[in-house]
Amino acid sequence: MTVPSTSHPPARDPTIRRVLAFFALIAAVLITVVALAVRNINRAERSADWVNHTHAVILEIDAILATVHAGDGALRTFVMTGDARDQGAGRDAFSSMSEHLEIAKALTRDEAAQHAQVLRLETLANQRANLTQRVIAAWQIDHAEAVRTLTAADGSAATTAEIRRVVERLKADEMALLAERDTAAFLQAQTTRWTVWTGVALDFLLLSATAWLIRDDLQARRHATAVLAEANAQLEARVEARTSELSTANARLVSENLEQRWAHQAAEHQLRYQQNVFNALNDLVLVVTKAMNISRVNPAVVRLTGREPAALIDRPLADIVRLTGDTSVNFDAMAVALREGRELRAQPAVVTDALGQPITARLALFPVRDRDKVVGGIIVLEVLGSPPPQRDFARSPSLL
Amino acid sequence: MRVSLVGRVAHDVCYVVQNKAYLDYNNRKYASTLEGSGQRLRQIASVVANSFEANWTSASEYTYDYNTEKKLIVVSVVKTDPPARDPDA
Repeated sequence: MTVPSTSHPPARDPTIRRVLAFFALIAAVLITVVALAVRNINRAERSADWVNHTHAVILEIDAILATVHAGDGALRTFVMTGDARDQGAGRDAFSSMSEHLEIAKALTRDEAAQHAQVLRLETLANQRANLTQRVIAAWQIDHAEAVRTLTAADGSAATTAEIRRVVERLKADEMALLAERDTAAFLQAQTTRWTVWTGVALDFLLLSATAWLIRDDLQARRHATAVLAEANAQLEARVEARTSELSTANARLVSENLEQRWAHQAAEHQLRYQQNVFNALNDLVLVVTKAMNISRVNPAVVRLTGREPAALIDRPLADIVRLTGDTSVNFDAMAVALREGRELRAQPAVVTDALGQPITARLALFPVRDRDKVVGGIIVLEVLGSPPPQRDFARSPSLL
Repeated sequence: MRVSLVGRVAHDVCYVVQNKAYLDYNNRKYASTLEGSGQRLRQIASVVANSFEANWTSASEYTYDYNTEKKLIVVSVVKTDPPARDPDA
Protein backbone atom coordinates (compact mmCIF):
# COMPACT_ATOMS: atom_id res chain seq x y z
CA MET A 1 0.00 0.00 0.00
CA THR A 2 1.33 3.40 -0.87
CA VAL A 3 1.16 6.33 1.48
CA PRO A 4 0.25 9.65 -0.10
CA SER A 5 3.03 12.17 -0.06
CA THR A 6 2.75 14.75 2.73
CA SER A 7 5.69 16.90 1.64
CA HIS A 8 5.26 20.66 1.94
CA PRO A 9 7.00 23.50 0.16
CA PRO A 10 10.30 24.19 1.96
CA ALA A 11 9.30 27.74 2.89
CA ARG A 12 6.42 26.46 5.01
CA ASP A 13 8.57 24.06 6.99
CA PRO A 14 9.29 25.81 10.32
CA THR A 15 12.49 23.81 10.85
CA ILE A 16 13.88 24.88 7.50
CA ARG A 17 12.91 28.47 8.31
CA ARG A 18 14.74 28.23 11.63
CA VAL A 19 17.80 26.63 10.00
CA LEU A 20 17.84 29.33 7.34
CA ALA A 21 17.54 31.98 10.04
CA PHE A 22 20.49 30.44 11.87
CA PHE A 23 22.56 30.35 8.69
CA ALA A 24 21.63 33.96 8.00
CA LEU A 25 22.77 34.81 11.54
CA ILE A 26 26.02 32.89 11.01
CA ALA A 27 26.56 34.71 7.73
CA ALA A 28 25.84 38.05 9.44
CA VAL A 29 28.35 37.24 12.20
CA LEU A 30 30.93 36.18 9.62
CA ILE A 31 30.44 39.34 7.60
CA THR A 32 30.64 41.47 10.75
CA VAL A 33 33.78 39.68 11.92
CA VAL A 34 35.37 40.00 8.50
CA ALA A 35 34.46 43.70 8.33
CA LEU A 36 35.81 44.33 11.84
CA ALA A 37 38.93 42.26 11.15
CA VAL A 38 39.62 44.11 7.91
CA ARG A 39 39.10 47.44 9.68
CA ASN A 40 41.43 46.36 12.49
CA ILE A 41 43.99 45.11 9.96
CA ASN A 42 43.83 48.48 8.24
CA ARG A 43 44.31 50.20 11.58
CA ALA A 44 47.15 47.83 12.44
CA GLU A 45 48.71 48.58 9.07
CA ARG A 46 48.47 52.30 9.79
CA SER A 47 50.01 51.70 13.22
CA ALA A 48 52.78 49.67 11.60
CA ASP A 49 53.29 52.51 9.15
CA TRP A 50 53.74 54.87 12.06
CA VAL A 51 56.20 52.48 13.71
CA ASN A 52 58.10 52.25 10.41
CA HIS A 53 57.91 56.01 10.14
CA THR A 54 59.49 56.42 13.57
CA HIS A 55 62.24 53.96 12.70
CA ALA A 56 62.82 55.87 9.47
CA VAL A 57 63.21 59.14 11.39
CA ILE A 58 65.67 57.51 13.79
CA LEU A 59 67.62 56.03 10.88
CA GLU A 60 67.76 59.36 9.10
CA ILE A 61 68.97 61.14 12.24
CA ASP A 62 71.59 58.49 12.80
CA ALA A 63 72.59 58.81 9.16
CA ILE A 64 72.94 62.58 9.59
CA LEU A 65 75.22 62.08 12.55
CA ALA A 66 77.17 59.41 10.71
CA THR A 67 77.63 61.56 7.63
CA VAL A 68 78.74 64.50 9.78
CA HIS A 69 81.30 62.25 11.43
CA ALA A 70 82.33 60.85 8.06
CA GLY A 71 82.66 64.34 6.60
CA ASP A 72 84.69 65.54 9.58
CA GLY A 73 86.95 62.52 9.40
CA ALA A 74 87.49 62.94 5.67
CA LEU A 75 88.25 66.65 6.21
CA ARG A 76 90.83 65.93 8.88
CA THR A 77 92.48 63.30 6.75
CA PHE A 78 92.47 65.65 3.78
CA VAL A 79 94.08 68.42 5.84
CA MET A 80 96.80 66.01 6.92
CA THR A 81 97.39 64.23 3.61
CA GLY A 82 96.02 66.60 0.97
CA ASP A 83 94.66 63.56 -0.87
CA ALA A 84 91.91 64.50 -3.35
CA ARG A 85 90.07 61.22 -2.58
CA ASP A 86 89.60 62.37 1.01
CA GLN A 87 88.30 65.68 -0.26
CA GLY A 88 85.83 63.81 -2.49
CA ALA A 89 84.84 61.56 0.40
CA GLY A 90 84.10 64.61 2.52
CA ARG A 91 82.08 66.15 -0.23
CA ASP A 92 80.07 62.97 -0.68
CA ALA A 93 79.48 62.70 3.05
CA PHE A 94 78.10 66.23 3.33
CA SER A 95 76.04 65.73 0.17
CA SER A 96 74.57 62.59 1.70
CA MET A 97 73.99 64.54 4.92
CA SER A 98 71.93 67.08 2.96
CA GLU A 99 69.80 64.29 1.54
CA HIS A 100 69.20 62.79 4.96
CA LEU A 101 68.36 66.22 6.35
CA GLU A 102 65.80 66.80 3.59
CA ILE A 103 64.20 63.42 4.22
CA ALA A 104 64.27 63.95 7.98
CA LYS A 105 62.55 67.35 7.54
CA ALA A 106 59.92 65.73 5.36
CA LEU A 107 59.39 62.89 7.84
CA THR A 108 58.88 65.29 10.76
CA ARG A 109 56.67 67.75 8.91
CA ASP A 110 53.66 66.91 11.10
CA GLU A 111 55.59 66.69 14.39
CA ALA A 112 56.36 70.26 15.41
CA ALA A 113 58.77 69.53 18.26
CA GLN A 114 60.78 67.00 16.28
CA HIS A 115 60.70 69.21 13.20
CA ALA A 116 62.17 72.12 15.16
CA GLN A 117 64.97 69.89 16.38
CA VAL A 118 65.65 68.70 12.84
CA LEU A 119 65.86 72.30 11.72
CA ARG A 120 68.29 72.96 14.55
CA LEU A 121 70.23 69.91 13.42
CA GLU A 122 70.24 71.25 9.88
CA THR A 123 71.70 74.54 11.06
CA LEU A 124 74.45 72.81 12.97
CA ALA A 125 75.18 70.39 10.14
CA ASN A 126 75.33 73.21 7.64
CA GLN A 127 77.79 74.96 9.91
CA ARG A 128 79.99 71.89 9.68
CA ALA A 129 79.60 71.86 5.91
CA ASN A 130 80.52 75.55 5.70
CA LEU A 131 83.50 74.92 7.93
CA THR A 132 84.60 72.19 5.59
CA GLN A 133 84.36 74.53 2.62
CA ARG A 134 86.34 77.20 4.48
CA VAL A 135 89.03 74.77 5.51
CA ILE A 136 89.40 73.44 1.97
CA ALA A 137 89.55 76.94 0.58
CA ALA A 138 92.19 77.88 3.17
CA TRP A 139 94.14 74.68 2.54
CA GLN A 140 94.56 75.55 -1.13
CA ILE A 141 96.18 78.84 -0.12
CA ASP A 142 98.03 77.92 3.02
CA HIS A 143 98.08 74.47 4.60
CA ALA A 144 98.99 75.76 8.07
CA GLU A 145 96.19 78.31 7.96
CA ALA A 146 93.77 75.57 7.11
CA VAL A 147 94.84 73.56 10.15
CA ARG A 148 94.47 76.60 12.39
CA THR A 149 91.01 77.37 11.00
CA LEU A 150 89.90 73.81 11.67
CA THR A 151 91.35 73.78 15.18
CA ALA A 152 89.82 77.13 16.05
CA ALA A 153 86.41 76.14 14.79
CA ASP A 154 86.45 72.91 16.74
CA GLY A 155 87.46 74.67 19.91
CA SER A 156 85.01 77.58 19.72
CA ALA A 157 81.80 76.07 18.40
CA ALA A 158 81.92 72.49 19.64
CA THR A 159 79.38 71.88 16.91
CA THR A 160 79.88 68.14 16.60
CA ALA A 161 79.07 67.56 20.24
CA GLU A 162 75.96 69.70 19.95
CA ILE A 163 74.89 67.80 16.88
CA ARG A 164 75.25 64.59 18.85
CA ARG A 165 73.17 65.99 21.71
CA VAL A 166 70.39 67.11 19.35
CA VAL A 167 70.46 63.75 17.68
CA GLU A 168 70.21 62.00 21.06
CA ARG A 169 67.27 64.18 22.10
CA LEU A 170 65.57 63.53 18.80
CA LYS A 171 66.15 59.82 19.12
CA ALA A 172 64.79 59.85 22.66
CA ASP A 173 61.65 61.63 21.47
CA GLU A 174 61.29 59.24 18.56
CA MET A 175 61.79 56.25 20.83
CA ALA A 176 58.98 57.54 23.05
CA LEU A 177 56.81 57.90 19.97
CA LEU A 178 57.90 54.45 18.88
CA ALA A 179 56.84 52.94 22.20
CA GLU A 180 53.51 54.74 21.98
CA ARG A 181 52.90 53.63 18.39
CA ASP A 182 54.04 50.10 19.11
CA THR A 183 51.54 49.93 21.96
CA ALA A 184 48.83 51.12 19.59
CA ALA A 185 49.86 48.46 17.06
CA PHE A 186 49.88 45.81 19.77
CA LEU A 187 46.41 46.82 20.94
CA GLN A 188 45.16 46.78 17.36
CA ALA A 189 46.54 43.30 16.89
CA GLN A 190 44.98 42.19 20.16
CA THR A 191 41.64 43.69 19.16
CA THR A 192 41.84 41.88 15.83
CA ARG A 193 42.64 38.65 17.62
CA TRP A 194 39.73 39.09 20.03
CA THR A 195 37.37 40.04 17.23
CA VAL A 196 38.27 37.01 15.14
CA TRP A 197 38.16 34.56 18.04
CA THR A 198 34.89 35.98 19.35
CA GLY A 199 33.40 35.68 15.88
CA VAL A 200 34.67 32.13 15.52
CA ALA A 201 33.26 31.19 18.94
CA LEU A 202 29.93 32.82 18.13
CA ASP A 203 29.77 31.07 14.78
CA PHE A 204 30.69 27.79 16.45
CA LEU A 205 27.85 28.25 18.94
CA LEU A 206 25.43 29.11 16.14
CA LEU A 207 26.58 26.13 14.10
CA SER A 208 26.17 23.90 17.16
CA ALA A 209 22.67 25.25 17.68
CA THR A 210 21.89 24.65 14.01
CA ALA A 211 23.27 21.11 14.22
CA TRP A 212 21.18 20.46 17.34
CA LEU A 213 18.12 21.85 15.58
CA ILE A 214 18.69 19.65 12.54
CA ARG A 215 19.34 16.61 14.75
CA ASP A 216 16.19 17.30 16.78
CA ASP A 217 14.18 17.72 13.60
CA LEU A 218 15.57 14.51 12.15
CA GLN A 219 14.62 12.66 15.34
CA ALA A 220 11.12 14.12 15.17
CA ARG A 221 10.85 13.12 11.52
CA ARG A 222 12.08 9.61 12.30
CA HIS A 223 9.51 9.36 15.08
CA ALA A 224 6.79 10.62 12.75
CA THR A 225 7.88 8.10 10.11
CA ALA A 226 7.71 5.30 12.67
CA VAL A 227 4.24 6.42 13.78
CA LEU A 228 3.15 6.62 10.16
CA ALA A 229 4.54 3.17 9.45
CA GLU A 230 2.69 1.80 12.47
CA ALA A 231 -0.51 3.51 11.33
CA ASN A 232 0.03 2.08 7.86
CA ALA A 233 0.49 -1.38 9.31
CA GLN A 234 -2.74 -1.01 11.30
CA LEU A 235 -4.47 0.28 8.23
CA GLU A 236 -3.16 -2.65 6.21
CA ALA A 237 -4.52 -5.04 8.84
CA ARG A 238 -7.90 -3.29 8.82
CA VAL A 239 -7.98 -3.33 5.04
CA GLU A 240 -7.13 -7.01 5.00
CA ALA A 241 -9.87 -7.73 7.55
CA ARG A 242 -12.34 -5.65 5.61
CA THR A 243 -11.33 -7.35 2.37
CA SER A 244 -11.86 -10.71 4.00
CA GLU A 245 -15.30 -9.60 5.22
CA LEU A 246 -16.17 -8.36 1.75
CA SER A 247 -15.01 -11.61 0.20
CA THR A 248 -17.16 -13.58 2.61
CA ALA A 249 -20.13 -11.31 1.96
CA ASN A 250 -19.56 -11.58 -1.77
CA ALA A 251 -19.47 -15.38 -1.58
CA ARG A 252 -22.66 -15.31 0.47
CA LEU A 253 -24.30 -12.96 -2.03
CA VAL A 254 -23.23 -15.16 -4.92
CA SER A 255 -24.76 -18.13 -3.13
CA GLU A 256 -27.94 -16.19 -2.34
CA ASN A 257 -28.11 -14.93 -5.89
CA LEU A 258 -27.83 -18.48 -7.17
CA GLU A 259 -30.55 -19.60 -4.79
CA GLN A 260 -32.73 -16.69 -5.84
CA ARG A 261 -32.14 -17.50 -9.48
CA TRP A 262 -33.12 -21.05 -8.82
CA ALA A 263 -36.22 -19.89 -6.89
CA HIS A 264 -37.08 -17.52 -9.69
CA GLN A 265 -36.67 -20.24 -12.26
CA ALA A 266 -38.88 -22.51 -10.11
CA ALA A 267 -41.48 -19.76 -9.82
CA GLU A 268 -41.37 -19.17 -13.57
CA HIS A 269 -41.73 -22.88 -14.12
CA GLN A 270 -44.64 -23.01 -11.69
CA LEU A 271 -46.24 -20.00 -13.34
CA ARG A 272 -45.86 -21.51 -16.76
CA TYR A 273 -47.28 -24.77 -15.45
CA GLN A 274 -50.22 -22.94 -13.88
CA GLN A 275 -50.71 -21.02 -17.11
CA ASN A 276 -50.77 -24.24 -19.03
CA VAL A 277 -53.27 -25.69 -16.58
CA PHE A 278 -55.32 -22.49 -16.80
CA ASN A 279 -55.24 -22.62 -20.57
CA ALA A 280 -56.01 -26.33 -20.74
CA LEU A 281 -59.34 -26.05 -18.87
CA ASN A 282 -62.47 -26.54 -21.02
CA ASP A 283 -64.53 -24.67 -18.47
CA LEU A 284 -64.70 -20.92 -18.90
CA VAL A 285 -62.56 -19.22 -16.27
CA LEU A 286 -62.75 -15.48 -15.78
CA VAL A 287 -60.82 -13.53 -13.20
CA VAL A 288 -62.79 -10.53 -11.98
CA THR A 289 -62.04 -7.58 -9.79
CA LYS A 290 -63.95 -6.66 -6.68
CA ALA A 291 -66.00 -4.37 -8.91
CA MET A 292 -66.90 -7.38 -11.00
CA ASN A 293 -64.91 -6.29 -14.03
CA ILE A 294 -63.10 -8.89 -16.08
CA SER A 295 -59.32 -8.80 -15.63
CA ARG A 296 -58.33 -12.07 -17.24
CA VAL A 297 -59.87 -14.94 -19.23
CA ASN A 298 -58.71 -18.38 -20.30
CA PRO A 299 -58.63 -19.51 -23.95
CA ALA A 300 -61.88 -21.48 -23.46
CA VAL A 301 -63.73 -18.17 -22.99
CA VAL A 302 -62.28 -16.82 -26.28
CA ARG A 303 -62.97 -20.04 -28.07
CA LEU A 304 -66.58 -20.36 -26.81
CA THR A 305 -67.68 -16.73 -26.95
CA GLY A 306 -65.74 -15.69 -30.04
CA ARG A 307 -64.50 -12.60 -28.18
CA GLU A 308 -60.84 -11.62 -28.13
CA PRO A 309 -59.26 -10.99 -24.71
CA ALA A 310 -58.86 -7.30 -25.59
CA ALA A 311 -62.65 -7.09 -26.02
CA LEU A 312 -63.23 -8.67 -22.64
CA ILE A 313 -60.58 -7.27 -20.35
CA ASP A 314 -61.78 -4.40 -18.14
CA ARG A 315 -65.36 -4.93 -19.26
CA PRO A 316 -68.08 -5.67 -16.71
CA LEU A 317 -68.79 -9.34 -16.24
CA ALA A 318 -72.46 -8.62 -16.76
CA ASP A 319 -71.78 -7.88 -20.43
CA ILE A 320 -71.33 -11.53 -21.24
CA VAL A 321 -72.66 -13.44 -18.23
CA ARG A 322 -75.99 -13.28 -16.55
CA LEU A 323 -77.48 -15.43 -13.84
CA THR A 324 -80.68 -17.29 -14.38
CA GLY A 325 -82.90 -19.31 -12.09
CA ASP A 326 -83.25 -18.01 -8.53
CA THR A 327 -83.84 -14.34 -8.91
CA SER A 328 -82.59 -13.70 -5.37
CA VAL A 329 -79.10 -14.29 -6.55
CA ASN A 330 -78.04 -11.52 -8.83
CA PHE A 331 -74.87 -9.66 -9.62
CA ASP A 332 -75.14 -7.54 -6.53
CA ALA A 333 -75.37 -10.65 -4.47
CA MET A 334 -72.24 -11.95 -6.28
CA ALA A 335 -70.46 -8.75 -5.55
CA VAL A 336 -71.48 -8.91 -1.88
CA ALA A 337 -70.37 -12.54 -1.68
CA LEU A 338 -67.07 -11.57 -3.25
CA ARG A 339 -66.51 -8.71 -0.84
CA GLU A 340 -67.37 -10.98 2.07
CA GLY A 341 -65.14 -13.69 0.74
CA ARG A 342 -67.85 -16.25 0.30
CA GLU A 343 -68.03 -18.81 -2.44
CA LEU A 344 -71.00 -19.36 -4.69
CA ARG A 345 -71.46 -22.68 -6.40
CA ALA A 346 -73.76 -24.19 -9.00
CA GLN A 347 -75.51 -21.02 -9.98
CA PRO A 348 -77.34 -21.31 -13.33
CA ALA A 349 -76.08 -18.74 -15.81
CA VAL A 350 -76.11 -17.81 -19.46
CA VAL A 351 -73.05 -16.73 -21.40
CA THR A 352 -73.62 -14.58 -24.44
CA ASP A 353 -71.21 -15.14 -27.31
CA ALA A 354 -70.06 -12.70 -29.95
CA LEU A 355 -73.09 -13.43 -32.13
CA GLY A 356 -75.47 -12.81 -29.21
CA GLN A 357 -76.30 -16.49 -28.86
CA PRO A 358 -76.84 -17.65 -25.27
CA ILE A 359 -74.88 -20.55 -23.89
CA THR A 360 -76.24 -22.23 -20.79
CA ALA A 361 -73.72 -22.80 -18.05
CA ARG A 362 -73.28 -23.35 -14.34
CA LEU A 363 -71.44 -20.64 -12.48
CA ALA A 364 -69.14 -20.86 -9.49
CA LEU A 365 -67.50 -17.93 -7.73
CA PHE A 366 -64.26 -18.30 -5.73
CA PRO A 367 -62.89 -15.24 -3.90
CA VAL A 368 -59.18 -14.51 -4.34
CA ARG A 369 -57.37 -13.39 -1.17
CA ASP A 370 -54.13 -11.65 -0.60
CA ARG A 371 -53.21 -11.86 3.08
CA ASP A 372 -56.81 -12.38 4.18
CA LYS A 373 -58.03 -9.54 2.07
CA VAL A 374 -60.29 -10.21 -0.89
CA VAL A 375 -58.78 -8.66 -3.95
CA GLY A 376 -60.93 -10.28 -6.65
CA GLY A 377 -62.61 -13.46 -7.66
CA ILE A 378 -62.55 -16.32 -10.09
CA ILE A 379 -65.66 -17.14 -12.08
CA VAL A 380 -65.84 -20.71 -13.43
CA LEU A 381 -68.56 -21.43 -15.96
CA GLU A 382 -69.27 -25.06 -16.74
CA VAL A 383 -71.11 -25.33 -20.07
CA LEU A 384 -74.12 -27.52 -19.67
CA GLY A 385 -74.94 -30.07 -22.34
CA SER A 386 -72.79 -30.54 -25.38
CA PRO A 387 -70.73 -27.57 -26.35
CA PRO A 388 -72.04 -25.63 -29.34
CA PRO A 389 -70.46 -26.35 -32.72
CA GLN A 390 -67.51 -24.24 -33.94
CA ARG A 391 -68.88 -21.08 -35.49
CA ASP A 392 -67.45 -18.49 -37.77
CA PHE A 393 -67.39 -15.40 -35.51
CA ALA A 394 -65.30 -13.48 -37.99
CA ARG A 395 -68.26 -12.75 -40.29
CA SER A 396 -70.46 -11.49 -37.51
CA PRO A 397 -70.17 -8.01 -36.18
CA SER A 398 -68.83 -7.84 -32.68
CA LEU A 399 -71.31 -6.95 -30.03
CA LEU A 400 -68.69 -5.15 -28.05
CA MET B 1 63.09 59.27 -7.49
CA ARG B 2 64.12 57.43 -4.37
CA VAL B 3 61.79 55.18 -2.40
CA SER B 4 62.76 54.40 1.18
CA LEU B 5 61.70 50.84 2.04
CA VAL B 6 61.43 49.37 5.51
CA GLY B 7 64.49 47.27 6.35
CA ARG B 8 65.89 47.56 2.82
CA VAL B 9 68.19 49.76 0.85
CA ALA B 10 66.32 52.67 -0.69
CA HIS B 11 65.25 51.96 -4.25
CA ASP B 12 65.85 54.41 -7.10
CA VAL B 13 63.64 54.59 -10.19
CA CYS B 14 63.17 57.07 -13.01
CA TYR B 15 59.63 58.02 -13.90
CA VAL B 16 58.90 58.71 -17.57
CA VAL B 17 55.88 60.99 -17.73
CA GLN B 18 55.15 60.30 -21.42
CA ASN B 19 54.96 56.56 -20.81
CA LYS B 20 53.22 56.84 -17.45
CA ALA B 21 55.73 54.28 -16.21
CA TYR B 22 59.00 54.16 -14.34
CA LEU B 23 62.35 52.66 -15.28
CA ASP B 24 63.54 50.24 -12.68
CA TYR B 25 67.32 50.40 -12.65
CA ASN B 26 67.57 47.58 -10.13
CA ASN B 27 65.57 45.26 -12.31
CA ARG B 28 67.88 44.52 -15.20
CA LYS B 29 67.12 40.88 -15.78
CA TYR B 30 64.10 41.69 -17.92
CA ALA B 31 64.23 43.15 -21.40
CA SER B 32 61.57 45.70 -20.53
CA THR B 33 62.17 47.58 -17.32
CA LEU B 34 59.15 49.82 -17.65
CA GLU B 35 56.56 49.46 -14.91
CA GLY B 36 53.29 51.32 -15.28
CA SER B 37 52.05 53.52 -12.46
CA GLY B 38 50.42 56.82 -11.66
CA GLN B 39 52.64 59.88 -11.77
CA ARG B 40 52.26 60.97 -8.16
CA LEU B 41 55.15 60.06 -5.88
CA ARG B 42 52.80 58.20 -3.53
CA GLN B 43 51.47 56.05 -6.39
CA ILE B 44 54.95 55.27 -7.72
CA ALA B 45 56.22 54.46 -4.21
CA SER B 46 53.29 52.10 -3.64
CA VAL B 47 53.94 50.21 -6.88
CA VAL B 48 57.66 49.97 -6.15
CA ALA B 49 57.06 48.81 -2.56
CA ASN B 50 54.46 46.26 -3.72
CA SER B 51 56.94 44.85 -6.21
CA PHE B 52 59.25 44.16 -3.24
CA GLU B 53 56.37 43.01 -1.05
CA ALA B 54 57.50 45.62 1.44
CA ASN B 55 56.32 48.82 3.09
CA TRP B 56 57.70 52.22 2.22
CA THR B 57 58.19 55.17 4.51
CA SER B 58 59.06 58.07 2.23
CA ALA B 59 59.69 58.87 -1.41
CA SER B 60 61.72 61.77 -2.77
CA GLU B 61 62.08 63.31 -6.18
CA TYR B 62 65.62 64.50 -6.84
CA THR B 63 67.82 65.84 -9.58
CA TYR B 64 71.40 64.90 -10.28
CA ASP B 65 74.02 67.20 -11.66
CA TYR B 66 76.80 65.36 -13.51
CA ASN B 67 79.08 68.37 -13.29
CA THR B 68 78.95 68.79 -9.55
CA GLU B 69 78.04 65.12 -9.00
CA LYS B 70 75.44 66.24 -6.49
CA LYS B 71 71.94 65.04 -5.84
CA LEU B 72 69.34 67.63 -4.96
CA ILE B 73 66.06 66.59 -3.36
CA VAL B 74 63.15 68.53 -4.85
CA VAL B 75 60.13 67.20 -2.94
CA SER B 76 59.51 64.39 -0.50
CA VAL B 77 56.33 62.47 0.30
CA VAL B 78 55.80 60.66 3.59
CA LYS B 79 53.51 57.65 3.69
CA THR B 80 51.89 58.54 7.01
CA ASP B 81 50.97 62.04 5.82
CA PRO B 82 47.46 62.60 4.43
CA PRO B 83 47.71 62.17 0.64
CA ALA B 84 45.95 65.50 0.12
CA ARG B 85 48.85 67.28 1.73
CA ASP B 86 51.51 65.70 -0.46
CA PRO B 87 53.76 68.31 -2.11
CA ASP B 88 52.89 66.91 -5.55
CA ALA B 89 49.16 66.68 -4.89
